[in-house]
Amino acid sequence: MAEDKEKTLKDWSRIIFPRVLRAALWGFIMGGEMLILLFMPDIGGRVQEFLPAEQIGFSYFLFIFIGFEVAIQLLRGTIFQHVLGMARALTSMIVMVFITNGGIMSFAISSSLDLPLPPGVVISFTAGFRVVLGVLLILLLLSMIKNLLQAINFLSEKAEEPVILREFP
Amino acid sequence: MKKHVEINENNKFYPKKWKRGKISVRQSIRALGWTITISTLILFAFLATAAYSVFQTIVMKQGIRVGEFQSHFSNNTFVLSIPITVNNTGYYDITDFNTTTTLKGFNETVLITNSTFIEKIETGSAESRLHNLSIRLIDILSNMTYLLFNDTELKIDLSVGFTYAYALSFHLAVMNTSMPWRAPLYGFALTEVRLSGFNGTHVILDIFLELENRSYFDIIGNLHFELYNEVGGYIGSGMRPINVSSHSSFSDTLTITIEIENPSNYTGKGSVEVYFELPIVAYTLELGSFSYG
Repeated sequence: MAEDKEKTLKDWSRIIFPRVLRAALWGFIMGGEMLILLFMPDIGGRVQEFLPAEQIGFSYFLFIFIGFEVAIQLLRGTIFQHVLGMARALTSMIVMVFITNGGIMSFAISSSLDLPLPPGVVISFTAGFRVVLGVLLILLLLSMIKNLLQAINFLSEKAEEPVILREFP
Repeated sequence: MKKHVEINENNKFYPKKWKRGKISVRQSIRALGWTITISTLILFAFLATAAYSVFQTIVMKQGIRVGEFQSHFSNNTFVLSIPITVNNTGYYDITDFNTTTTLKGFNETVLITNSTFIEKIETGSAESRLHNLSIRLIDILSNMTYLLFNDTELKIDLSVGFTYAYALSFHLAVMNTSMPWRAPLYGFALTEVRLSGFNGTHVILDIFLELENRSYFDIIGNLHFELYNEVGGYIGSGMRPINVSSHSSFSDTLTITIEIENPSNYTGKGSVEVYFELPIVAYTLELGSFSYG
């Protein structure tokens, strides 16, 4: 008779520790390094002069993205991996549209010590990338569909796993 | 859940039909995943190269050059010219390149606007255009008569826009650049109207006129006079040409000859109505009524 062995603390640590390591590594790869760069005074300060992270919410977007990736890696091998993948794709779509204002970003440059301008003169700069944003949204939608198919495939594989009956005494 | 199973010698139950399609579904999902990954990489590579290219072309190598403003005045039209050169040294084409200038008056009123358009500048090529803003004085001064007599500041907005790599669009606008406006009839004053002569057919009036032409163009016009008696009876009319050069002043007594059309109305005193006819204004300016006699 095969009895299920109760997992000890050591067994659980063998399961959880690699997941935590993988989650930390993937979290770093998928946005952690950008976040560190943004918060470095030399580099992040220069970026914030042109693109204030607080204003456009870029750092919040990175936090959300990294959070999803860490959760996906921790719950790898379960249905929640695919559910979180779909949620991440959907959230990314909404946040990207919100942050980029639908693919059109405008900046107003006023007079400063580095760029002295005559009084009343304002320089306005607008960048439009709706085509690129559209393609990115399509790819995120495909990613959502892929995660959905993976979730369906996972559930169907679980349903078709061989059933091992206990032997009755 | 009811399953279609069969029992083997190890008392293990297996599904009756093991769907071979499972393998193809996994492969399809994997192929979709790879497609998404490769497409995303291509997209980001394109974005990175386009951003780097436009930064190098526009900022570092000054691919778009706006020359110094040039101006000239002819035929009652003030023409502002801006030479523009676009040198595309980047990896992608520049399309829909347009330059727009807008002249604004008091209270942000748009007076004149003009655009210059270049359809396409291929990579490795350069294009030059002369962007002109023609300001017909009659269009401006007819609606804003105060510009004839008062110095002020007009505002110019200059904007440049283009599409890069058929996907990224950029637009730069420099707004509220001041352009000084100097009045052509600054300090205009008609004073000291004196009746200096009458010969039965004509009335001679002396009128002191002073004005300062601070503008870039000459003032060439006609002063029209209509003579009335003290009860408003029309007597006659006359005209006097005025020519004041740019950046010069006029301060002198004008001798006006009025041809009498109704001699019976002449009493020796009354009023004279003065009008100023200028080609740069669509209508005749009413300067007022002055007493004589």
